[in-house]
Amino acid sequence: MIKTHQGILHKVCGMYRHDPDDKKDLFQEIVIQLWRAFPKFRQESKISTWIYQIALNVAISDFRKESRRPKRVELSENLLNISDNIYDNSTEEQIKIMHHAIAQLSEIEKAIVMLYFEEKDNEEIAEIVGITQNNVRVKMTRIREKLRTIVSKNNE
Amino acid sequence: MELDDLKYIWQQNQALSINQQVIDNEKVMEMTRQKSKDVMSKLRKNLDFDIWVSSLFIPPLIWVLFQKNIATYHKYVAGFFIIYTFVGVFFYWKEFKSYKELNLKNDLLSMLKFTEENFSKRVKLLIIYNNISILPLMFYGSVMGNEFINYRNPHHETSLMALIISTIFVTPIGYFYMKFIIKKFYGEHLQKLKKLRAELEQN
Repeated sequence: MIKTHQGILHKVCGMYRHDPDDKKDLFQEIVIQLWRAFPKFRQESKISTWIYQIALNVAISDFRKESRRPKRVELSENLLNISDNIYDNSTEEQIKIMHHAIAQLSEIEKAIVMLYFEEKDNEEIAEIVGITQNNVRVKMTRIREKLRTIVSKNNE
Repeated sequence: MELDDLKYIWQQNQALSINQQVIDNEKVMEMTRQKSKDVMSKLRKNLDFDIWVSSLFIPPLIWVLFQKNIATYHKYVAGFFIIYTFVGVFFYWKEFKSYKELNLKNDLLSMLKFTEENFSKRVKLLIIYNNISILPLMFYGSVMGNEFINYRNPHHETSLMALIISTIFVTPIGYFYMKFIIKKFYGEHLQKLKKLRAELEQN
């Protein structure tokens, strides 16, 4: 089960940790918790929803400080002059912009935006996060605004 | 760049990177054999340590109780600390053992609520447990200090009032030191849990 769905674990670890060793530690902690929690899995929800739930719970409740300073995305001159048409830039630069923008979100916002990126609908996001669908919509609107501001600031 | 553009980049990036990170069954099994390092486990380890260290003092305290040539007040103090440790151990087993693991099977908000409530309950109990011992410990410290002075200078006499005054003087030091230690170890976690919960509950 873990092997089949390990992509989810890598995504969560990548979202919440920057240092490779910290990522490994978080990955291991999620695996341990999934192993512990599996006997109680009632199959009331999809297995991927359940894995997201556990993985995000572990990542957000894990308050260990990162072993090294997070590797902040360096904004090169090219990155600061992003044209309106982002797809003209290289993939690497686009990824840097994305990581830089996401890094400025709160832990909760990261969880919600990641689920949105993973094509989860409001109902599933609400189920994983534990808030109402209406609250998910409100938070998504705020995140949208926040990300727009972050990216446009970088463009200036 | 809009959110949907970021979503597109995310999906492209994940498709590229995840294929490079494949973990086999053996590695997964090895990971499951490791011990958890979650917040609750760490708190439990600290409490285990406190209880075991306190328990180490029980045999010498019992020995004090049965000595004939020891002043009676030493026996009272020994008796107090034996009872104190047993009460601590009793509450520890009764209250804490049922919440020894992080509750991850629920949604994020429920997990945060559960962890915050249990965490604050444990921290409160820890503060109460430590505070109960401060006054007798400090008074006993003053008495022992006085014994030492008397040993060096047999003509020296200390009134009970002087002992009480010195206890009143040193007790706040012990109190604030313990408060500082507890806040350092657990306070930051608790604040972060509260902040996360507030953020999720905010509409």
